[in-house]
Amino acid sequence: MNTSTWNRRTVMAAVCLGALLSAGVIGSATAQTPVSGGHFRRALSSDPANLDPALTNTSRAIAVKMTIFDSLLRQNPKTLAIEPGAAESWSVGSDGKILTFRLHRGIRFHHGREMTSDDVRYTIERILTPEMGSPFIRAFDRLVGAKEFTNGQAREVSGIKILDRYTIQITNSVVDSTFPLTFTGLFIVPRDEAERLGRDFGQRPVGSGPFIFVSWSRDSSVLLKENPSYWEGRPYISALEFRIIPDPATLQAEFETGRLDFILLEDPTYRRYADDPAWKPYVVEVAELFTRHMGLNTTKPPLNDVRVRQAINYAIDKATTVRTVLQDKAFVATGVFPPSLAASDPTLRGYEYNPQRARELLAQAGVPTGFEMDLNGSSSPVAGRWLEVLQRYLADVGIRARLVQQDFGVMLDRAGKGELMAYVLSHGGGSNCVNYLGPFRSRNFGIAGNRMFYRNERVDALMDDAERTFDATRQIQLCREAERLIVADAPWFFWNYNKAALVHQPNVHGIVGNPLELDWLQMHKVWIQPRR
Amino acid sequence: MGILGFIARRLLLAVPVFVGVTLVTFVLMQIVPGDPVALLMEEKVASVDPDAARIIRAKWGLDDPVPLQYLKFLRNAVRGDLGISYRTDRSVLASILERVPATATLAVAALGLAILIGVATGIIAALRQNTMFDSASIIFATIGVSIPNFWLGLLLIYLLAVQWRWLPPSGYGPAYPYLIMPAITLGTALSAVIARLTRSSMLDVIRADYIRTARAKGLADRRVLLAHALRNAAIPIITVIGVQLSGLLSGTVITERVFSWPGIGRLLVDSIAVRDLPMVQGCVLFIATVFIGLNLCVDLSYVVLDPRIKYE
Repeated sequence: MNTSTWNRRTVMAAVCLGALLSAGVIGSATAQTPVSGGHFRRALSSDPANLDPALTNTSRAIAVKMTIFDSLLRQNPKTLAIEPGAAESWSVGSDGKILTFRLHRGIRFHHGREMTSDDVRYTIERILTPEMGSPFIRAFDRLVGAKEFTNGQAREVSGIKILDRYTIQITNSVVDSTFPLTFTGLFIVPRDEAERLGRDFGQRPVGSGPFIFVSWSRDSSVLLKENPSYWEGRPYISALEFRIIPDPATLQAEFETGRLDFILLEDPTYRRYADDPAWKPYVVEVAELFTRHMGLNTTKPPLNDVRVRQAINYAIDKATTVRTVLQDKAFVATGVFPPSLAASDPTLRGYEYNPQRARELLAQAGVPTGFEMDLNGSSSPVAGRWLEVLQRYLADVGIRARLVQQDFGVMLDRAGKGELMAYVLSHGGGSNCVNYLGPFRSRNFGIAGNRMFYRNERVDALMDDAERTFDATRQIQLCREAERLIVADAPWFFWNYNKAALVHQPNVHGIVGNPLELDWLQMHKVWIQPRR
Repeated sequence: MGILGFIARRLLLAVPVFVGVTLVTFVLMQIVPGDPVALLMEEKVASVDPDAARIIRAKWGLDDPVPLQYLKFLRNAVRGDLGISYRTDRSVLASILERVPATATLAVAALGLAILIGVATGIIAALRQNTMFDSASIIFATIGVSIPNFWLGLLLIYLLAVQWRWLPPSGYGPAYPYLIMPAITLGTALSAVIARLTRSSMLDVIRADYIRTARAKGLADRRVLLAHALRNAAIPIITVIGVQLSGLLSGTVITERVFSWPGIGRLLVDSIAVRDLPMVQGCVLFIATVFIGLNLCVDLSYVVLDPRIKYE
């Protein structure tokens, strides 16, 4: 255990203890010291389906995979800075295209073999193999030699060079400052086991992470046990169980009867715990990297007029909607970037609630009496409530919104084809501002994310520059400039940033919420105080 | 040919039924908007890379012409290969088979409970027509049919698990304690239906001449009731039980969801949500098989119950 880790744990434990003492739950000083042992139970809303790192990219599958596998790099859940993972160090060459990773020595997979550079190479080539059908293929398809490998013209990716047993060099064909981020999601698989198990690898995964796969009862639970020889130190909890619980009311009952150690809080349950003095100390909140918005199709009249789109932004009282319909489980949006993102601009004011200004803009745009438009959302009851409140505000300025609720997949499909005028969606773009602004680049029209069919050449140019620079400060400046242009062009109604929240049992310690996805937790740092 | 010929004919008729249901399912899945590849890829970021999507389509054969996709499915299905799920990358058949025990356990438990309560209540209500018990049974049946499954499930969880801590709120495991609440939830409505049907059927039968004759011959009440009355009243009850059991084996989605029970219903719904066509087709085929099999069993049971019925 290194010093910084130890300090972090101590501080965390002290904070937890303070909270517990103030709540009068325990009066002992023993909570300061992490305790080993215990069976930790957490929930997933549906089955992870497949645990092969090259396959499913659902957030629930990743929540499990990150406990079984080690990624080459990691992101600090507090700062979102890139940190060493399985690679103890990494560097970017002067041309911005060559990345060199040096692995920690002594990382052992769960079947006992040591992780080497060859496993890293195999993991990437496996993703690039067309027969795998990996959704992550895009992440590596610009490596030198990737196209030839994928097309079957080469047996190896020439841009991946093994320098020695622990050092590997990866050459990208373009300068892309977001490329290192890709390796925070690259979970290394052992070549021998992946080849031996074939398709079954996703059902019986073998990794090098803090927990070892034990069993999986489909649609019921996934059981893992501690990895006693984990290279970062033995996890505190001895068994980790992911229970599949799709119904929110059942989830809450399971938590209240002590059969789950934490649950994610949805809008209806958030206030129940956040306002209860007995539970409040155990509520963990983060501004998640998701921006809830209303996408406006910029090709459909009258939404092709920027004044109409701005009018929509002025027409809705975001603060009130957040307080009421969203139960304060969100932050009012001023632009694209949530406050957790380094590029978030605190000086950006966005659009205030000003229905009079909205009416003026509509009049200037030639639609003084308003217009009709369809407003689409998914079929969930929550989305229905959102749509109704937005419809009410739009009606106040003369915009007659026809509400259409449909299956989420149907809505995405139709929006991607440009069939919808307006749709409510939550955008999550990760921790890098260049990726986050992906839906505003004209190269991403349609299903690639730009469902507003928004085009601003200046924004495209700024994003191209931002993508090429490795200077973080400069990149943030470019992103902020692009964001200001986007806010002015209003291809979205910038509604709110999701506040993700969870509540844990009083005897659970070490949970640090992750803005990327709240329950992507570093489970080896979590511990349970035995109940008396 | 007799009864064997009847069975053979029914099994042959099942073939066009199988082709029909898979064709309808396939066409419906094609018509409904929503690209399975996009749905699989974009859950996290709501954006799809077209190149990656192309490769995934090729992996699953989604780049073939649509009629060819169906013909390939049929060809493989005839060989007993239902394909690989897009969502899980696993054999569809294996995924369905591993959920059958959970679904069957729940369905059989719910049905057993429903028959026990429904038939007993129906018989007593019929024998004590126009008494307090009869009125109470009608009220029970009306309430039982009217209560939505999810509401009853949540009510049971609240009372038995959260308030009184007698049972765990949800989960899959040994019959005690895990099966009790799901079986009650699923069995209540069915027991109400069976109770009403048993009562009316018994009322028809106990007024029949042959029952009066049986009594006149001095047979014991119990024998008259069980050997003569109930047996003759059973045909409509068994017909309903057969249809309901088919439904229980295929459509217990809500109960499975509320109690986190890993059955076929949840598998089907989760698969529809991501347009996992092979899994949807597999589940539909399974459900069709169950329907056909149970209907055949119900038809055959008539022969046992009523010797006058003969299949030629």
